[in-house]
Parts: sequence; C-alpha cells; structure tokens
Amino acid sequence: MSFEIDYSTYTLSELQEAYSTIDKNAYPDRANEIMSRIQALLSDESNLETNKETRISDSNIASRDKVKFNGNGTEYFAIWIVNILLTILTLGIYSAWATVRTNRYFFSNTEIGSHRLNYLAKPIQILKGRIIAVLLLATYLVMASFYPVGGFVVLLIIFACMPYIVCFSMRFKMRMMSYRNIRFGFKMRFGRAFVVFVLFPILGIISLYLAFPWVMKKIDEFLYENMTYGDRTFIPKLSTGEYYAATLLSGLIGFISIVFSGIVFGIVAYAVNSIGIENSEVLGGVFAIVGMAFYLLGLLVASSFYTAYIRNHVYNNTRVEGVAVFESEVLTFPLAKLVLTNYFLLFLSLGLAYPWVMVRKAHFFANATTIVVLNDINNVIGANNADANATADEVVGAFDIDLSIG
Amino acid sequence: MDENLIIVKGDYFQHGSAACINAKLKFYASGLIFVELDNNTSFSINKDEISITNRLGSLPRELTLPNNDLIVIESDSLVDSWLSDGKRDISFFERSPKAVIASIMLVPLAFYFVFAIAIPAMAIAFAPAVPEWVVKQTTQQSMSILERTSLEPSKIDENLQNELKTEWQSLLYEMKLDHQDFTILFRDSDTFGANAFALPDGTIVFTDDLLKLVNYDKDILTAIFVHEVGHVEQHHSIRLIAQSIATSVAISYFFGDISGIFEVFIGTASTITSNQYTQEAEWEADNFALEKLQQTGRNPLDFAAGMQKFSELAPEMSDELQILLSSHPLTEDRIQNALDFSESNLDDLTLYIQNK
Repeated sequence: MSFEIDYSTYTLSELQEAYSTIDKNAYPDRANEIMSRIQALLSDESNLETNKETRISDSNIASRDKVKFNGNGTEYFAIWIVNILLTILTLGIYSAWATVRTNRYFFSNTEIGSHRLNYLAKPIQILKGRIIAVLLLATYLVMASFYPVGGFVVLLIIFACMPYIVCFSMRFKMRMMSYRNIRFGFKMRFGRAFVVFVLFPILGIISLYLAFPWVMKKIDEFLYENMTYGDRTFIPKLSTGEYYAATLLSGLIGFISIVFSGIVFGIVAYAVNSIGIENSEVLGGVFAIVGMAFYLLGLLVASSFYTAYIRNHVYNNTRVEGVAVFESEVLTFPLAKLVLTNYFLLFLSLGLAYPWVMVRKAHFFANATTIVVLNDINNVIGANNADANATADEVVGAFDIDLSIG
Repeated sequence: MDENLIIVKGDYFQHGSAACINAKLKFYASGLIFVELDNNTSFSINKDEISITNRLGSLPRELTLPNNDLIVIESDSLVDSWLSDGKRDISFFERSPKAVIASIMLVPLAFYFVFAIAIPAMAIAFAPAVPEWVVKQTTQQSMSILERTSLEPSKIDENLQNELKTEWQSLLYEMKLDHQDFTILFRDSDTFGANAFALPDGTIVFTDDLLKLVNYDKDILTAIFVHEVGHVEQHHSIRLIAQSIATSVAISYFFGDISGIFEVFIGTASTITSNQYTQEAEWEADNFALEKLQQTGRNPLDFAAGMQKFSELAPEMSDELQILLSSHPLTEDRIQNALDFSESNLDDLTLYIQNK
C-alpha cells in the first residue's frame, strides 16, 4: 500500500514527529524528504529569529500599544435589548442581523495601534448556518427522545465530523475578521484536524487523562499555526511543560481549597456539636454554606489561574511572521475577581447586566494584551480565498462545542 | 464657499494592502465625495457607488469603494446624516430611550409568551398527531431499558395482581376512553421506590413498594391507576417530549451565542420551565382522576388518601423554592385539590382513612 503524502503542509514539529516514527528502511525516499524539509525549515526559523531580533532591536516598530477596547456597557445595552426584542418578534429571523451587529460592536471597538478590527460577515451567511444548525439540533433531540440509540448514532457522527466542523468554523471566524483592509484566514487541514481533534483526545482518555495537557497543547498549536493574516502565518511556539505546569498548579489550588474548606467545615461542625448551642442545626447549615462558598471560590481561583497561565503562554509565544508580536499579562486574582463580580452582577440584575458583563470582560482582556506591530505590516499582501460558510460555525454554537481560543 | 461642505480625515487602504494612507474627504451636498490622499493623488466618487457600513453605536464608518479599497472615518452626527441622507435605520431605535425602555418591558413579556403559551399550545396540538408506531417504538425502547436496569419481577401475590388487573380492565371499559389498549404491569424496583408511572402507549407500571405503602388498599390503588390513565389519555409523555425539544431549540436559538456563566442561568431557567410543564401535566391527570372516579361511582377521597400516604412517606417543605425545583406539585396542594373537589376537609379525610 502506498500513497503520496504532501509534506509541504507539515509544520516543523509535525515533520519531526513524522521523522521519528517513519520506517526509514521501508521508505527511504520519504525519510530523506522529511529530513531535508526539516533542515530547510530550521534554517528558515533561524533566519526569522534573527530577523525578528534585528527588527525589534532596530526599533523598526510601527506601534507598541495596549489593545484598546472602546465599547461601553450602556451603549451596548441598548443594542442588545433591541436585538433580543426584534429577534423574538421576527420568530428568530432577526437573530442573524443581531449577531452581526453584536460581533461588529465588539470587533470594531477593538483598537490595535490606532486601527480597529473589522467584522465582515453578512447576516444571510449567518442565517443559513443558523437554520441548518437548528434543524440538526432538532433532529438530534427528536432522535434522542424517541430512539435513544439513534440519538447516540447522531452524536457519533458529529464526533467523526469534528475535523470538518472545527476547520470550517475556524475559517469562517477568521475570514470574517480583517485589520487594515487585510483579511485573516485559516488553513483547513482536515487530516491533521482528525489527528488532533479525534485521535489525540481518544489517546488522552486511554492514558487516563495523563496525556490531556499535551492534547490541549496540540489543539492550541493546531488552531494558532493555521491562522493567517494576509500572506503571513501565525507562528506559535508552545511548550508542553507549560501546559502540564498550568494543569498541575491549578489542580493543586483546587485540591487545597477542597481540603481547606473541609477542615473549616469539620472544625466548626465539631465545635458547634460539642458546645451544644441551641439551634445547632441552623448554625451548622450556615457553616455548611460558608464551607461551600470557600470551595467554590477555590475552584474559581484554580480555573482563573489556568486560563491566565495558558493565555499568557500562548500569546507570549505566538507571533505573526514579520507583522506582530503579542504580549499578555493576565493575572489570576484580577481575573477571578472579574468573573466573580460579573456573576453577582448577572445574578442581582436577573441577567439584565449581561451587556456590562461582556464589555467589562472585553476591557479586561484588552487591557492585559499588548501588541507590537512591526513596520513590515505595510508589505503584507491580501490572500484571496473563496467565501467561507457559516454553517459549521453555527453547528458548533448550537451543539455547544466550545473551542476556547480567547 | 459651499456651506454644505463637510470635511473629515480618514484612513485609506488600497485593496490587498495593509499600508495606511492618510486621507482627507470632502462631502458635497450633491452626493459627491472628493478624496485627497497624502501621496498627492486625489479622485472623486459618488455616494451611490460605495458601500457603507451601518451606523452602530459610535463605531467608525467603513466606506468600501467599487475596487475594494477601504476608507475608515470617525462617526459624527454631521457625517452620519450626510451618509444616510437623513433616513432612519435600526440604530435609530438603539439610540432612542423610549424604544429601549419599551424593549426592556416587552422582552420579558415576549419570552413569557413564547415559553408559557406558544410552546405548550404547540406541544398539545402536536402530541396526538404523533403516529401510533412511533409511540409504540419509543415505549418499547424505554421499557426494555427500564426492565434491564431497574425493574425486577413483582413479589406481590399473583391473585391480587390478577384481581386488580381484572377490575381495572372493566373500569377502563366503563370510562369510555379514546385509548383502549392498556397494559398493566407490577414490578419490584429499588430505584423507583413507591411509585406508579405510565408510558405513552398505555403501559402502566406499579411498584411493589407502592402497594405496600397503601396497605394493598384497592380503592386507593384504583385512584392512582386512574391518575396514570389520565397521563396516557392526555398524551402527556409525548407532549412533554415535544415541549422539552421545542424549549431546548428555542433556548439555543435565542441564547446560542452566549456562553460561560450565563449558561448557569439558562440551565436553571430551563429546569424551572420544564418543571412547570410537568407540574401542569400532574394537575391535569389529578383532575382527570377525580372526575372519572366520581363519574364511575367511586370516591374521589381515595385519591386524597393515596396522596396522604405519600406525604407521610416523605414530608416536604412547602416553600416557593420547592415549587420551582420540583417536577411535581406539592402533595399538600394536591390533597387540598382533591378535598375541594369532593367538598370535604382534612378531618373528613382522616376519618375516611381511619374507617378503611
């Protein structure tokens, strides 16, 4: 059995992976080709490294600014509430227009080096995708309710289609965004997507989740290295160790908070019992709630730690070829505080504070991000692609498969 | 000097290039735009020839020329009214305080209408229309899963089982229902405890624990049986499935692009909604049972007596939260409903149970 493999689409790390696993006696030609490609890429890399160094040291920098988010909660509230009303009154049709307005509001209010991002999707693209997604979701729910086995089969099919769903939805997301009249893009590599989104997760489960941080890294790497800006590519240099560090440390924080709240709860319960205070049941209940609150706070800090750690790592180690370097300094406690206060805002306002919550979040992440734009951006040329379709994007949304690339 | 002339600064990008060129734009009342670029080129173009992004908040306006060159200019009221020719678009509502306040009041009403009126009405219309073979299929699948996982053969005396079955079959005949094909099963189950449930094709299951709970009182068991018949007769299972599917689709449609903590609220709202639907179904089945018991010359108090047994088994807190979080109405309220129906009070019920 023999088939052609196009190694030209492989990245350096994938080539190295391929070289270490290939049977060099059976396929000497392929092994040679891989090796020469590795060497070519390595020399490119070192050139780029020096280029990048000289560029930045030459102060060949167009701008070095914090990302600025110009939206405000009150303005967005008006847009949001009108969007919802019109969506219900039009039996959902307007939701496509609403989505475009919402996305445009957040994209075009994001300012990088005194220029804004632009959002290019047309409502009809969104509407088509949305109708298909609703039909798919309804089919799945009907199957699952009337034929549980059939519902399971539908889920399996969706899982098998994950590579396509991920690639198409990423391409749509990226293609609908432009900066300085140049579109972003996403290289669709279904084969690699199958490996990353289907095989690796299965491997992760077989390894009793021990390999999961590595799987997460592979997923992020796939998402970022296939992003493009005009004719330039994104280059992430992610480290598996950092993913393990993030996982272990956030796990440790979670564990400590569980133990701590358990101890507090135990001591108090014992004290209440032995003193024999009246209404000890009520008091016990109060302390159970306090213990629970400690526990939830611990989990919040743990998840904020993970989010901040990984985001910082990914941003600080990703650049756009000759165009931009990212810096991210999200801190754990401010992030936890943001999430907690947002939660309270939503709760106390019965959801009406949602627009302010979203704007606060956008401000927070913009404020923690610095983008160095290099002068070479003036030489970027737009790449021409066929129009992306919103279907896969919508399928992802409706089935709630969240790909965090925040 | 033309008084209607508007002059603004903008960023100019040629198609396919990220290089930014400073531009000066002059808008004439005639609809003509004169563009002067920093690289000493200039041209004029008519407003009809370019595509302009809608006004949204205070976002800059993006002017795309026929050759896909892009000009970005700041939004201000003069520019905006020149670009729109004074025509109103959706942003007019977004900046009108009246429209926003009206929206705040109308949105909850509209959601209430969708989830409390439109979806249930749709489900009620839809349930009887589901073909018989689909109902049979569904029931068989659920029943075979239940038989395998949580049901054991009954340990109740077979004579009693047969007696009840015979009596209930003739009662079914007496009630003159649309649906005639009922299957009555007795099963032992740890999972279900003291319980009875109906599947959409007319299969009604009683657990051994339920028979023990009511001391094998035939009248009470009959009352519970008629309640379960009510569920089948009114297509409750299919209706609830339809309601839950429609609710899920509607929720994911309206709130599909919302993620994170907001989902907690949506999940809670969805649970509460579906609890309202099941509580509604329980009330309908209760009232069905009470009416049929009376019609066939039985005592509706038997149903109250059955509920009384349940409340002794699991005392419940009667607070608002309980009502929201439970799939069934409060037992206390159901007893009261049965008492009201038979124009009795709690003392009558206690007496009735004692005399049994």
